[in-house]
Amino acid sequence: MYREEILDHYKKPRNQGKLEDEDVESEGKNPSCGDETDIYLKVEDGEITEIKHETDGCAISTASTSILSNVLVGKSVEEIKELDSEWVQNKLEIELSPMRIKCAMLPIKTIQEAIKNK
Amino acid sequence: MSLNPQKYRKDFPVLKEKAGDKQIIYFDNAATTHTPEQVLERINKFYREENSNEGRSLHKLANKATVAYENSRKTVADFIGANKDEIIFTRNTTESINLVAQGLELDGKIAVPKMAHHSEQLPWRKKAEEQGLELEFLPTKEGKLDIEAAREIIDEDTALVSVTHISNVFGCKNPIEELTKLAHENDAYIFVDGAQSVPRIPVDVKEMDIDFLAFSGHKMCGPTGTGAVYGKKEILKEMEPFNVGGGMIETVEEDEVKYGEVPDKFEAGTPNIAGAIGLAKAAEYIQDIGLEKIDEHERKLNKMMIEGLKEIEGIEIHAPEDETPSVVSFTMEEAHPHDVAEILNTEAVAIRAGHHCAQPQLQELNLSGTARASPYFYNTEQEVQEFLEAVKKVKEVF
Repeated sequence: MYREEILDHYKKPRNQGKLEDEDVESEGKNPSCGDETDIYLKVEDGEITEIKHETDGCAISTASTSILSNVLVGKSVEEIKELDSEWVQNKLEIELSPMRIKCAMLPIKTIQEAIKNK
Repeated sequence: MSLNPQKYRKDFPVLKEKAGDKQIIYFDNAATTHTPEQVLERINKFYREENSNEGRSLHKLANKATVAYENSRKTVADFIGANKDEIIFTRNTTESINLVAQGLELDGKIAVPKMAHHSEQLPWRKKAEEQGLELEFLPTKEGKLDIEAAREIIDEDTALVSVTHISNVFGCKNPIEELTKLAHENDAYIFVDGAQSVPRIPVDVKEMDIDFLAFSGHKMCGPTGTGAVYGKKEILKEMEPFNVGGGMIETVEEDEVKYGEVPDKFEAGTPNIAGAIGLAKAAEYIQDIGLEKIDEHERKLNKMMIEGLKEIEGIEIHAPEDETPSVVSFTMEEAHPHDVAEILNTEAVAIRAGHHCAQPQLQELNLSGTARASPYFYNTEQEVQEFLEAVKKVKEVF
């Protein structure tokens, strides 16, 4: 689970910070683990053009948010609404136990919540 | 003579379970303990030889079930120094606390420790909110209940003091004696959450002069879905029933219902008969080992654990300085508690990570969670050494 890329994204999360002119801001939490993330999105013509985030959590939630902040750019809002835990585990190239899936799903859930009415 | 865990390990089939090629080191006993053959066999015997409803029918099997169930109540009562009719069987500590919080009439403030488990805290918070009562938190100081602050808070307007006997976060043992005295001097009830204490230290409700005690079966070698609450009989008599229905009445007429005696009044519906019998067997099992010995053995392991953890850089231990705690809560600089638990899991070491159902307490400490290791009498010094080696592996990964 803790392969090199995951640890690298945990220690040096990509796209960290805020967007000043974001179109969507969303806050997500896993209260049972204490994982927290604030995600900022730029959306143009129904497509994600930029993602920034401020994440405080475990290695899995932080790495997942970092990796997805790259992967989701260029995807349409409609496409993102359909993404599930299988897709996330494929992208992270790790298999997760039931308790850890919610860590990995934190960024997707947070973004899906924010774009559900878009 | 001190306790030899090897003598008891053979009773616990699940201790032989492996993760990969390693035998699991089970240090999550504050969450749930394992169940010995003796308890499993006793439950099995009930279903094979005595199964029937209790307290209702009069045939041979029903009589066996009634006798077994009521004998279990006596065993559990003896285990904590109570009278038989002061024991109400419940599903767990949570249900025990809700039963009292909902049924007890209070006219005044409720005091609850900041470190209280949500199961102790929320029933009282709900009651306070619904009945417009004031609820005050008894603060924590250096991993223990702040007794000086409690002396200020508990006063003549206090109606009930709830106390966490042993904290599932810090492992500290709180000063029940003084809190009981404080409560009673102010004509307030004292309620003790014994979820973590009843399984590991001697508890005698009469000696302690407490009004209520709640505990769970699954944390003391009993089956899940079992628990009990003790209450002084004269208080239980005045309380409203928790649930209403079958088995708890004296008479039901079209226009009038009379409830049964204590404790039947609080046990509506067919109870978990096999579970109560299993819980009683578990109480006998740990009593035979000896609660003093269990406590002494656990503290020996925890002391070793703390000394070992202190030698690892970047580890902070969350426990009182001046006592060996019943659980060992710690955080690591580089790794989130869940990652610590995950890596220990790959080393076949089972611990708990998270907020331990005490969110207000962890928020106060500015922590999202801790990793918590909680040995029991069947754990060994060798396992503590292996646990410490596994913790060092966490450092290698991060």
